[in-house]
Amino acid sequence: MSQGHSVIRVNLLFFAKSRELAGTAAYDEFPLVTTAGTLSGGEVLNLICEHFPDLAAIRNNVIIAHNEQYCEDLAAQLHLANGDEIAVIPPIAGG
Amino acid sequence: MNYLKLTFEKLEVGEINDLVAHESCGAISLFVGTTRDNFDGKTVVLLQYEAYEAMALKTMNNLCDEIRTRWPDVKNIGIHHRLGTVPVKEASVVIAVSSPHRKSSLEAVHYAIDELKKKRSCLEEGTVRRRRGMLRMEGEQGVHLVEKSQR
Repeated sequence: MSQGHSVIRVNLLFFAKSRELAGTAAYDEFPLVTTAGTLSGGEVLNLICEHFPDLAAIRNNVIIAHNEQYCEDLAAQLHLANGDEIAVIPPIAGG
Repeated sequence: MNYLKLTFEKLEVGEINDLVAHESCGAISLFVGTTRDNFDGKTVVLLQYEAYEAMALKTMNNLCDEIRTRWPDVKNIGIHHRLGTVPVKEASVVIAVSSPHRKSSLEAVHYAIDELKKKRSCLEEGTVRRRRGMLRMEGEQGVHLVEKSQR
């Protein structure tokens, strides 16, 4: 079985500052070019920042969540499937 | 029972108290988090909250599980968080815990608010007043000032 590039389409959600910079609260079917459905959190974030260049300003301060799980370690590999949800969240928290 | 809610409406402390009250319980402990009028030497006008709702509720549910593991006699837990604008003095979060005797509910409520603050359940953004116009300020970590001119 060859490990080719596969395009996985995920749904993006943007919160707070990231929403302002991205210009949208949500973006459906965002294409991610993966290696057999796998990318690191950092790579996903890079692809998102390529498409929404204004996000670069906060790229190093955001956290992403994959299917409602925080990706604390951006080097860790994510197993992505079509329809997955990726949320971009600035690291600010209240109660 | 866990009574978890995210709402844009003003929080009613009495209502949340009544939700967690139970005939087997002799104690209800409450924490109410309110908007304070100052932060870092600046005057705060209001705080705004938004939530990634699915994650916020998941976080709160996990917190309830943790509470019940540590204090097995806790009966009901209520966590209500307000979204949108919360003016000074008004409640952004109410946590209520009932238990047969007071020790568990007092300790559990304390634990709950400390954990909730740590776990990023909701995003908080403050609007502060300066001499000229308003400055918008991001949360408590990584304060990022954005000049918002008012003419």
